[in-house]
Amino acid sequence: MAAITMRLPVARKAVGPSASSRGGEKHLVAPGDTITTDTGYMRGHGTYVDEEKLIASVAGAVERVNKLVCVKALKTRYNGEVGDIVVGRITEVQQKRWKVETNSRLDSVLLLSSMNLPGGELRRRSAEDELAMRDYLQEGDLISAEVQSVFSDGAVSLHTRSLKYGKLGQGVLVQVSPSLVKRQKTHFHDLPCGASVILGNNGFIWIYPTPEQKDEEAGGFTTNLEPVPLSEREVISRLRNCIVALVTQKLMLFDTSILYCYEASLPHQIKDILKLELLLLIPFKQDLTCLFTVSSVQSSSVSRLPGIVHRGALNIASLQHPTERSAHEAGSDFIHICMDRNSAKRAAHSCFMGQQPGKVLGDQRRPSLPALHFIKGAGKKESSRHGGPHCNVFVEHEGPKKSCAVFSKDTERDPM
Amino acid sequence: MASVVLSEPEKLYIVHGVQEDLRVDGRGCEDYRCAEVETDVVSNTSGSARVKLGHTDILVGVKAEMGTPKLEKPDEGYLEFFVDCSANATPEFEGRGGEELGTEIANTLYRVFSSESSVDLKSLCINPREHCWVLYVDVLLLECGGNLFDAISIAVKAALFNTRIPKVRVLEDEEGSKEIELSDDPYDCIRLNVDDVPCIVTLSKIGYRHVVDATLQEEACSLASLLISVTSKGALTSMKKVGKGSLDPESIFEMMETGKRVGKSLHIALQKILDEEESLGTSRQKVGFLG
Repeated sequence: MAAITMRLPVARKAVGPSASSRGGEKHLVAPGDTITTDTGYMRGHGTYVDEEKLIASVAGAVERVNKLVCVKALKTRYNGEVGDIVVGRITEVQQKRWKVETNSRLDSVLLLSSMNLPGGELRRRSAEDELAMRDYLQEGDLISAEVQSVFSDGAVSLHTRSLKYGKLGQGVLVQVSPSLVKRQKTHFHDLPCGASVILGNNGFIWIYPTPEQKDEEAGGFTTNLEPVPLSEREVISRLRNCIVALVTQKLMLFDTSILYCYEASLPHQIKDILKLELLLLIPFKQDLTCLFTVSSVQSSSVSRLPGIVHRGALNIASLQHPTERSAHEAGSDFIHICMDRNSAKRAAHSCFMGQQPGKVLGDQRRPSLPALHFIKGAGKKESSRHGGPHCNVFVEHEGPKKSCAVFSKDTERDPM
Repeated sequence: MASVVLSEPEKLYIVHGVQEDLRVDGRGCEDYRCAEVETDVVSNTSGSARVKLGHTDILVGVKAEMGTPKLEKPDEGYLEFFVDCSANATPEFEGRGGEELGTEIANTLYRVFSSESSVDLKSLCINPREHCWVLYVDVLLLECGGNLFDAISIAVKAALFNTRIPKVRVLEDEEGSKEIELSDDPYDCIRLNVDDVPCIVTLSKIGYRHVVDATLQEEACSLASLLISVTSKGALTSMKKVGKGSLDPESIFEMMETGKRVGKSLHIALQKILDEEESLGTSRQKVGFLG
């Protein structure tokens, strides 16, 4: 039976500058907005000076590092940085190099000498290798690679000299804005739901079935062309739609947010995830536990959603974890919306354990988590001794349906 | 047309998915993406509609102008189609790049609307042999995300539904000279009956099966597709094969059956949303292009 749904468009909600959940801490600008009239500041990316005023040239969040003022755009092309992991598509085979599309302003290059030969041979590249380049990688092929260097014009040179990089096989590519991919220690994730993702820093996200044997990866030159079983396909499709849903809500993408969205989407059919009603709802569903937003635009729209506000309790809590501090300073809010006790525990656990959320998720999220008294214990002000920020944990609003645990944490920076 | 390049394993993944009736975005073979329809988006047209189907974004404006009937049909008005491919959609459309595709789509629309019953052209006649309404249907392609034809036909139907043509009267004085009088009331207008306006359903052959509403990625995996135009009653009004591949007669019949079935539900869904929008009347918040 053919399923066809149509709907009327829904207008975007306007968010005022005062709507920030952090008391207007985030400075959002549109192109042409004056950032400051003070001439003591230095002009950074995304800004220009006109009539002694510093004006934004892109829409995004203002970031200040001492005297330097930059605007980090929400929607942007990829600006390469050495060490980034990217997913790219070969567009051209040239002499000793491939041109790779990586969503940056200029095509990236992958030199023949900066890739592993099939089988991992280490030798000088000969003329024969040059002739066989199209056998290794041809136009349209997808690769995962690392940024080796950035040229002065911003073009990026890639390398795949590790067995974890190389040609990609069967799977699905989702293209998002690079600013939505959170920088992490690892961008290769084998998710516990049964698929793997590569979150390229350039906004290309590759979802693929988790390979069975890891050791025999030969840089992807042996492509598995066997049909992917339906069960894995379902997981991949669901993940894809979840990522698209998160992106439309402008939520940061990393393993934890994707997994939470995945779990929240489980009651729904895969194809329903993308219908707008659900698309708006899924990230804010009762059973969804955590939200990680890029900017206060989103966080404020979260707090305005009726489903959350009418619960009466303050459900939004900012959790700032020591390892998250850098992320916070880089301009991303770290917000948890805790709607039921279990999930609150889970969220708190991952934060107080001093681990990266993703790491906890991988193995500890399903088995029984420590009981609430653990968190209460963590709430005691023991951290001041160590110079860490304070944290207070308390349970509030034992509602008739579900209880809401609210965690608050002092975001004051310690002098240390 | 805008197209994407895919690697062989990616194509294989899509083809296998279609065989298992689970496409990359979780849809089955006969499912459409969720479409967004809004009418009355351009104020200086007689009727307009904007349709978004995934990443495909179409704007249609209908302008009613007075003209002279065609010689072979003196008591009928007529429709004119023009398709403009904006370079916003893809840089390939820059300059004259989109012209070929635009003409192809316009010709398809002429064929789809060639059947007598699709629009009641007699109602567009003001004065036989002298005056009739000409409906200029201008399609603007804002973004290409696959399945252009279906989205365009949905938008055209929505725009025709939205079209309001001012009422005119022909006055004849004693000497026999005729005068056309426009009604003073701007809300005094005629509406078109769009019940029999067909919609196009594109069926793309991927592997051994066919899918409706293919995305750009799926279109890259398909060698041949069949365009069929279906009315709300399930009657097939025209058919066209596109793509360089060939189709087996047997699979063409299968595709026709699917197309009729899907086309019927497409019309039901479209009519429902158009009625819903109309019932909201002026209370509806217009979204337009800033939404």
